[in-house]
Amino acid sequence: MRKVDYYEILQIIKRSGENGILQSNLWKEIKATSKEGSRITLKLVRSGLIRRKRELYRGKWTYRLIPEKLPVNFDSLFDLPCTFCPDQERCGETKYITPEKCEKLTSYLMKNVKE
Amino acid sequence: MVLMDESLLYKVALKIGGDEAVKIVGELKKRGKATEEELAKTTGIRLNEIRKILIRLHNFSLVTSENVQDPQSGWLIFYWRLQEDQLQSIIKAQKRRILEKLKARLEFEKTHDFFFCNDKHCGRYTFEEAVENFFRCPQCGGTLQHFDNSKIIEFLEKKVESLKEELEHE
Repeated sequence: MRKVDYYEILQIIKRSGENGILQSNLWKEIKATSKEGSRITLKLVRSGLIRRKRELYRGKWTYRLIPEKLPVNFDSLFDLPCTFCPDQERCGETKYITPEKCEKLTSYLMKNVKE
Repeated sequence: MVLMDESLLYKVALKIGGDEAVKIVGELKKRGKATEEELAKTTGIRLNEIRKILIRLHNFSLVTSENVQDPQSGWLIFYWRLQEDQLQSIIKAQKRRILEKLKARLEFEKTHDFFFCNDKHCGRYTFEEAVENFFRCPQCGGTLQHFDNSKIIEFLEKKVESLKEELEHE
């Protein structure tokens, strides 16, 4: 039997977002048989990484696999000047640069409220 | 099957070190591990620039280095490799850190009155700083006027809330 990468499978389920993915669609994507697929998904359910929701699909009862945690979103950080700022280690309440007075952050805020 | 959303890796590299960091990360992804000289040769980026970018990537844990002793010369060779498996936790750590910074800024905006120099946009001053300068701009001497920061507060509140929510569900 081929080696199963649970991490990869979990990433596919996570990428499906809040609505999750039908287990039959997941098995097709990972090219697994229903027996293999069930074994994998049950392991992920027992580990608390995903949950299963019973669903009637095309007249048959199946399960929808929903991730307990969503994949990290980087888009919300991308435009912020603080993200991976080279001065991050020097920035803090008692440090040389403070979030209260940071000019990069001020320019960013001014630009965003003008738009 | 793709192990991880590759675009996420390149977005992080772009934010850390610009287009050149993307090239370096792409090369490391292809090769698995590489020396600075190998990276310079294949990317066409100058060696000192490669080092600077690798250090920045290393500071944020996106790459790691390992020393191997050359059996012939006895010299140490530095190999760099990606830490792709750390990507999700790197982003989450950034998010937590930035959330604290934005919270601090929000508190500052809420508890202070601001003044600005309308004519030349020299900067923004707190009430205390404006009083010290007799409501004159310390840079150009223009009259300081009250600055309404309600939109900044509103923007920061939204950002803080959305980051908090994301952290709860990721």
